[in-house]
Amino acid sequence: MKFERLLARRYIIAQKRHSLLTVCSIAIAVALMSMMFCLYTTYHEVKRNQAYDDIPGHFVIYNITEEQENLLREMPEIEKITRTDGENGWTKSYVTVNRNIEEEMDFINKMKQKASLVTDTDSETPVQYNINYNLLELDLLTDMARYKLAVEFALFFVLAIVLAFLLRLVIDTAFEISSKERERQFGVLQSIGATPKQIVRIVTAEGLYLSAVGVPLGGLLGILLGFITFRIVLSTGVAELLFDSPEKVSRYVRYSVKPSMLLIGVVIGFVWVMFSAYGTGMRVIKKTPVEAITSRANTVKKIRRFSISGLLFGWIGKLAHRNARRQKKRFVITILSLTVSLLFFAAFGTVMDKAEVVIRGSRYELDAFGYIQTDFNLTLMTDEQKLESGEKAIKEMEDSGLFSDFEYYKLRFGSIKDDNGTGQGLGVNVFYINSGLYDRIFRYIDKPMSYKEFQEYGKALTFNAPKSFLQEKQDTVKCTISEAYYNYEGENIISENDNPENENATVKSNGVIIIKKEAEYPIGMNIVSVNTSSYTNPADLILLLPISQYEADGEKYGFSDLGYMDFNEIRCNLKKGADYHKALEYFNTNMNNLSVMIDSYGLMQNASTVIAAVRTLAMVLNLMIALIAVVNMINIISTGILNRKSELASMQCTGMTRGQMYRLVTIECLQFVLYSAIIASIFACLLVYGTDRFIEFLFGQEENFLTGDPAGNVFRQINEGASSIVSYGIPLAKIWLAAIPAFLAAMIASILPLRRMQKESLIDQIRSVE
Amino acid sequence: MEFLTVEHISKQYGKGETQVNALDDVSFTIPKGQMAAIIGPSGSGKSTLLHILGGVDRPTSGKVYLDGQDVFAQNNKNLAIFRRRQVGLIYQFYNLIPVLSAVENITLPVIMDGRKPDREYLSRLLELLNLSDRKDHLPSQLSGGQQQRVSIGRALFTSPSIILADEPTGNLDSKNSAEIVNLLRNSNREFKQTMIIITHDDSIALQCDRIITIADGKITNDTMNTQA
Repeated sequence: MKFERLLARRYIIAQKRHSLLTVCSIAIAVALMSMMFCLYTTYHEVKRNQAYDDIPGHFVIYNITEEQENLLREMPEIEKITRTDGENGWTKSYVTVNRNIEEEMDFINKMKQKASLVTDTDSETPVQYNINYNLLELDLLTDMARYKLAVEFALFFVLAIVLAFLLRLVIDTAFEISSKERERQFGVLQSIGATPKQIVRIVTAEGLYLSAVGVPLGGLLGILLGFITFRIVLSTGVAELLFDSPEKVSRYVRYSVKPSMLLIGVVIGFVWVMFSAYGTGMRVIKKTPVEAITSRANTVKKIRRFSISGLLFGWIGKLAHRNARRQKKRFVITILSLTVSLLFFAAFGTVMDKAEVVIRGSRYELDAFGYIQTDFNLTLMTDEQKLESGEKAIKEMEDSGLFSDFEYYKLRFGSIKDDNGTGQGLGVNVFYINSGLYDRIFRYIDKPMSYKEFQEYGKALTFNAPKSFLQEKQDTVKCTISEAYYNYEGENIISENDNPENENATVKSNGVIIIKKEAEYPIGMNIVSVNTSSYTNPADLILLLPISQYEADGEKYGFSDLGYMDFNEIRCNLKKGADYHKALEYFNTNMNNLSVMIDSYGLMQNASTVIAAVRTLAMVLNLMIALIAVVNMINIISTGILNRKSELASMQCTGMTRGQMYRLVTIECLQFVLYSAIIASIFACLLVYGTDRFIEFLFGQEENFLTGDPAGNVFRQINEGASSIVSYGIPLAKIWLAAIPAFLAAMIASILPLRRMQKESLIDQIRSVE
Repeated sequence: MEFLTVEHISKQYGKGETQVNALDDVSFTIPKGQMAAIIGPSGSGKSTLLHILGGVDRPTSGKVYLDGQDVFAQNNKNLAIFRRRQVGLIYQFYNLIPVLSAVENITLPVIMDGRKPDREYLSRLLELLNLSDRKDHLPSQLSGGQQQRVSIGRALFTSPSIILADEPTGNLDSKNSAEIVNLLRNSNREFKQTMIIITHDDSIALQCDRIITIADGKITNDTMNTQA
């Protein structure tokens, strides 16, 4: 082994440039692998911290005594119990366990038994508990958690193995380059008595020495790259979505390096290096000493005669086409990785753009009663929930200068009596709407009249009423509106008008009194009729009335404004996106009057943040694939040129000019990039087309309850809108733009060895093989 | 009429103590259509001389005139074109392009020159080389003798003014060697091409019109062979 190690050391020193290239390739491969493992560890750690932040223990038990806690502490599975005082005199005991409890409910039962905890709700002092499933899962404390983690690990390892194989190519090619130049020397060594085993040992020893530098370097580089990626992803603001305060973000969202995981990455890298070195050694000894000494560059057994390059660039193109396919497997893998990289870079970004447009678009374009069309959906909380208060609130909000596009409605639930005036009637929702909402509802269907005419119309409009219902009940509908109140003991009922002693009060249970009052609403017209003879879904029949009707009805039928089952909602948009935080502050100071029910603007911001984070992560992944693809391409091109050193020289001897030779290698480089870009373009178009169809498929099934159209129609409109913003042209342009640096890298990879070769005379170049 | 004139050619490799004089003030002339053999021991400078004659390597000093043209007065591009059109090189190890078929290898210099290969001449040449039935084979599918014939075909196809062969039979068995020498001899006679062959084989040298002996980078003997 001594002589093999000596030779390996000498070769490394003698071929400084190649050794450096191999060390760099090993370092890149190991770095990418370690980076993946570090990011995976970090993701797990953050997830655990989030679960811990929700409930700082695996179980939380409410209202147990200190004696019970002490009894629980005796259980060997329990590591600690932390007691805190909650609201209303409640206590919370957070239980942390330290070993596999197999099944969480069994463990709860064990705790109950141990500390005599009574959880029966009929008991006078029932003990309540909560299970932090996420934390149990992340700490691998139940059988199910272990199973789930095994599945997650398996998926991650599949990804890691795929990456590892791609990286193996990088290392492999680096070894091949350095061994190729010494093939003749290996042949000579064999001819003077070195056994094939010894030759393999020389190359393997070389791998070992180079790994000693490359692997630790790669590990450190991986930690650094992982940290940079982590910081970049954090800069998108995604952490703030997971945790509600910056303090928590800084406490819980930390980059973590787990030595065991890092070791796995490094070991995989090291094993790959040794495999590559061994494989290269085995390839070297496949040749007889004479073959190695006198070897021609790549024996070609089969060629394809037709080529597009030949058609485009003549005989040079033909030659380039055949040269590129000498190492068919590598050519295909390089094309594939380059294609994936280009596709990922361009198409993924475009699909994300499209997703964002569709998400944002759907918010505005979906059904008219949807809850996320406006920036804010607010519930009116005033003590005097009269009609005027909605208008008053809108006026005040308008005056703040922050909001616009106000919509307001008051919703009352009720039923329509049967013809005989008895029994369960048809369910109905009566919407008293303002002009803003009126306009939105009739956004996609023809407006039957203006809002002003609607106010003077004196009749209700219905949606989705069955035809038979219309024929029978038009102009004669009587609604029974139900009102409900909390009857707080010892407190006055809000107004005399709403006195629960009212003879119509029919239900009294659990402090809620429901009073039924009758109102008559003649129906003017139905907007979308349903082709069914019976109509059984009570929630879906909608009566629309102008908001001015509400006040009149209040006086006429004695409706109160505080009905528990009623609903008041104001919707509005932000005038300027920049005022978002001011708006939140405004709601905070007016929270007695207004409660934010849905903050769609914030949701959209969050969606954008998540999309940005996904984009960033995808970009990092993309960079990794691109790096592998480019390093592979550089290796394959430079190896190809070095392998053909004597061949290129003999072509020059036969009269090939330098210009022709450069043209040849340019076309060879162009082929890699051209093929990848063409394939990537085809896939990008398919991907964008597929996304369109997928969106349509996803949303095409359900009906828009206002227009009666499939929701897919609305989505199609959005999607078509998105297509005009995010067109097919975008990924194509991006792909071809990204192909330019790949081509430049390939050219540099070709020109450098060519220039170096040209420093030698043609004779030396030919003799390098002879 | 002298076709090739070599004037005081010297070629040195290395510097100082490690300097090697591969050729030392070599001068000779060769008339058109002559077939000359260069013989000499290993390291005597034969191959260096041949490469200089073919414009593949540049001399340290001295001049080479081919058909009155100063070979090394040309720039690299013109030198490449000169090699393509005026010189046919044959190597011991053939140096064929592995991805090209026999016929493509033969026609490569003409194609490189942007010309269309003369089909009639090509089929005549293939017949002469006895390669008609192997013309679409790749070098790896040919025997050593066949590969060398392809290499000769490549050298002959441009109808160069001079053919330079560096131990063309060095890698072949005696039967194949005889075939190759006959081929070169016939080609020399049929196409009236000037030919210089480097060889260690006396039997080959004896088939040439002239035998030049080189030792230590100098011409030590230059005799006309009347037996050829």
